[in-house]
Amino acid sequence: MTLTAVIFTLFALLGLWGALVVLFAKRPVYNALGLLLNFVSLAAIYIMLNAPFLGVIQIIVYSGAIVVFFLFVIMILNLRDPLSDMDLSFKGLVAFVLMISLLSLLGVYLYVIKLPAWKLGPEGSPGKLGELLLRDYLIPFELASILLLVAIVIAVVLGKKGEEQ
Amino acid sequence: MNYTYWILMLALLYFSIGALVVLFRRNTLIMLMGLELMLNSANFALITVGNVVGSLEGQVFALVILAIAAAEVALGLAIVINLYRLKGSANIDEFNSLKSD
Repeated sequence: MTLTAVIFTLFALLGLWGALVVLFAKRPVYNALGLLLNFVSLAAIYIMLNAPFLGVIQIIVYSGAIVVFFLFVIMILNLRDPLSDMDLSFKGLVAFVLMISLLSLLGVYLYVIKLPAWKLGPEGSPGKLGELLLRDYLIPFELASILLLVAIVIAVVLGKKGEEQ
Repeated sequence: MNYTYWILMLALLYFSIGALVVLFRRNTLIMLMGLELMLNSANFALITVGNVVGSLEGQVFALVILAIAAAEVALGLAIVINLYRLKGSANIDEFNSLKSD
């Protein structure tokens, strides 16, 4: 195993730990911190997969904005007590078995089809990505900006509705 | 050993943990965190496949997904706050009525 593979495995395990914390932690702040751990280790993995711009954006948007937003909401709602919201009913167990079988089927499928050998692609530097976004993928880019505008308006309207009650 | 397979399996593992969070936790806030995990693992798979194919398109798609995830979490959390004000709880089983009574 090369050094790169060792570092990759390390970050993969860290991300796995964060995801498991989100699944099992009882206090919402710990869940948010597990989410943060997952996001940061995925950002490191992105940088190793030749996507440095996406790695940086991952840290700014996900670990910066989204996790802080979750923490804001946890503190606004004052969720201080440990949660006991694990749904271990029969319904949940049936869904669990179905989902695990579906995902293992997907894993077996990925194993059976001959995936192409691993190689690193071109580096996603900001310049190249921006060129691609503003030349070939201009319409998805503009649609994303319209979506963000709509989201801002809806968030304001939802906030106003909460004020009236 | 084919690294492509193992990296895609890692993305699948993160996705399944996110789906398990959505299935098993009943708190709306934590279910939203599970959604974020799933979107993130989709991004991860897109970047992996983009590398193997040898083009930057995977990363462009991942950027657009990132914008959509940001909008989704903002609206989701606004709805959670409103529902919490209405019912005094964030448990999804409480939200069973379309009319506010």
